[in-house]
Amino acid sequence: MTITTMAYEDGAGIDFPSLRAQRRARVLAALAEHDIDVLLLGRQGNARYVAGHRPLWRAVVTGWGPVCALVRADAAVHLLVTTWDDGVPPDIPRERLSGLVWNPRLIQANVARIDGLAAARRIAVDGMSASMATLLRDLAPRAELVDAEALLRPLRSVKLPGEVRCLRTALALVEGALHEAAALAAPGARELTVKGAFHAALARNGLNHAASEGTFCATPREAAGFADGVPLRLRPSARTLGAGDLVALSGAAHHAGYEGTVARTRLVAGPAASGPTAPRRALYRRWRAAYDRLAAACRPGATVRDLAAAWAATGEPLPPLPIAFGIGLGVEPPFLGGARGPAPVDAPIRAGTVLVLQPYVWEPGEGGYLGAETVLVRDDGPERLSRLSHAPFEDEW
Amino acid sequence: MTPPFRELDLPRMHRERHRKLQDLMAAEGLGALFLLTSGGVLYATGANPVQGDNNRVYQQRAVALVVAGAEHPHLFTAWPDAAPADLPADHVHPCLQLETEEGVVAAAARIRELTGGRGDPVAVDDYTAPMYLRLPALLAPSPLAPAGPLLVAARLHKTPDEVECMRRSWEINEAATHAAERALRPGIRLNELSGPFYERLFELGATCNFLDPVWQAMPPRISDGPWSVNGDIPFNLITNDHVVREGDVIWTDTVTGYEGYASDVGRTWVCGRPSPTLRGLYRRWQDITDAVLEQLRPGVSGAELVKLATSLNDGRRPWLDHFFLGHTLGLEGGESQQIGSDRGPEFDERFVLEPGMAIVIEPVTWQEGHAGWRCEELVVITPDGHERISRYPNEIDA
Repeated sequence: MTITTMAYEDGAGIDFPSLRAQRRARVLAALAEHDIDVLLLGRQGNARYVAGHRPLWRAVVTGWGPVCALVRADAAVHLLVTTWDDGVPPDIPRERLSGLVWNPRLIQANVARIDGLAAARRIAVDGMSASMATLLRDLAPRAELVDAEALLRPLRSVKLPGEVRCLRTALALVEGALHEAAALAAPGARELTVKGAFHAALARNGLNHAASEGTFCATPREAAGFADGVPLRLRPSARTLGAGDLVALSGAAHHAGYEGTVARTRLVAGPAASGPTAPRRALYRRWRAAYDRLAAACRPGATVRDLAAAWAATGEPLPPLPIAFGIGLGVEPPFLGGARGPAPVDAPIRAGTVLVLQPYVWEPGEGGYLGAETVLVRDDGPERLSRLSHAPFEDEW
Repeated sequence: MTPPFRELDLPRMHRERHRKLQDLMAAEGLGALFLLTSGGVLYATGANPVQGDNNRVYQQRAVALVVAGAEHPHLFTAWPDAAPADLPADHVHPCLQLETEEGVVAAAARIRELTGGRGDPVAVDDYTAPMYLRLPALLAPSPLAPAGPLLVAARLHKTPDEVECMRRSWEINEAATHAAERALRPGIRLNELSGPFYERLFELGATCNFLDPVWQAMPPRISDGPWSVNGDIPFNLITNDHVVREGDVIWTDTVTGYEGYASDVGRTWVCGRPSPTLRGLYRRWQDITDAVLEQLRPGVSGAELVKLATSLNDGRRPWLDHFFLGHTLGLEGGESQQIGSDRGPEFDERFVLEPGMAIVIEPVTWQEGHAGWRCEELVVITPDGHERISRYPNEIDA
């Protein structure tokens, strides 16, 4: 399959107008089913699912405030905090945009412009803040508030064909950047240099920011100094890599909002460059066995608890990273955390769900092996969407 | 490799921030702070996680609980190594699940357990939907209060260690921005400028990037678009793959962190030689900026600065309609104390500079047909004036 982000006249291989229409139709059907009049969204992934706009990305998690509204009666999408039409799909008319404002009175006025809000009986919200709660009591005094996240979760977890295409594109770009960065993981290189190379490679490919700053760290060979039994450093430092280090490399980025995330472990080759030793090959085989067990549990009708059981059956201790999570417009449920949680949200795995499976295994004196694979759940089992190799541990998969 | 930084004592910085929170909590009679926003958690605990997209954070977020009278804050996190070394291990707890009702029930039980459930008010800085729907009943008789104003008050005045974090953050960002400027040439795509930017940024030890870096080729006229709700200069747009041409005027905006403290570097570049008109716009920008900076000292109000800047621009306000003449800066980016924003003249009159405030000044000059000039400069207010932090040269001077 050809992967391209170039803006051909036929739309980069993805029919975005159609994709937006399909997503919005699904959301409107859910609003009707749950008798919700207005959807007020502050979370970027949810807002983007409905609007398909390109917001300016920030890493900061601020207090909740609505950025997107969908009114069931007229299917109108409103974008707030949107001062210009750059990055706004043409199917959202200009009169439904309102700009970035700071004055609480102006914020109130912009929210009040959403036609249908005042008369709403049921409003679904994906968060709340003290000031917005007061404002909504004024603007929609009769409305009952319900959880929009719970409403959208099942819709978002089943991917449309166009969404899978976006995820493949994001994966291809992120895998390419990780491949480029991995080439720098040589004796004497600083971890931070490898991290910088990953981000620079993303930028050259048109991805101007990462979705995770990523891990570019030699895995520890001893457990001393780590809180739990499976040591892994996640934050790169100024330390230099040495021959024989097993370096965990992971990163993520968005294409059209859809997230590609990838993790691999590379062996820092010394001058002898003799390849992995037998204990390291055994470590990789443990990783692969854990992955195979998780992948086998990714069947329609299974739940997060089945994934947790699959991990328990490996006999491997829980790692400090999430073991499995949904992926789409960013990370989403189902989500199976590592040693310190969070408690799993017992979301069902459906045909069309895309999951990242991310085992980490560790051996004293040797280091650890981290790898993440993205799979699409199909009726006949999971299809692996990620493609980057696990060389030199496994040449052909 | 690393710029010559001054002394920084992170445990002392964490202690002083914790003491400030405790004092403000005591003044308001609060029993606890329960914090979810990334800035609130960072301020209260010093936790330093791998920075990521919001959607990633929601599923596995770090949460802080500050109990009145306690010596240390509590941090709930999936990744204990994100906790600072000076936070005792028994104050670092597994992640809470705030995305579901069951998770909120469990979280409320933890809050009761760690606060002693005395019924004092608990201040919260944000809510997931299940929290908003369930937490008030679960914590009763403790009333819930907004934590936002308290956090704004605590964060506004910087300690010497916080100022040093801001110096480092700004210095590294300037160096990274300069690496991007050196790559500017006809034919390069704007997104490619982020490559050298990130390489330099992380090499020099920035601990995170907060904003999709903005490199924007400015339209010569506002009417060249894009369309905007306020009819003003459209900035800051998302960086695209525009192919740079000679004569392009590029405005930048980058926000990066050191121990969470933000830099907010904004520059104007010209590809090739600036036109005589643009030189004039630069000179006017420099005159306004110099005059405003000279006034920055304790006791000066935002309103006085607004009046001064406007008088030097023929009576028109020299900044973007959707932004401001200046703003305070701290963790993660701009804070809510702005000068010349849409909050109006009363807000500007009430906002009076005090020692320890970090102020970014960002005037704009513009002439239709020629684009304009915009840069951001950072100072920290001292007891008798200010210390200038930003040092990026305007090469147009040379």
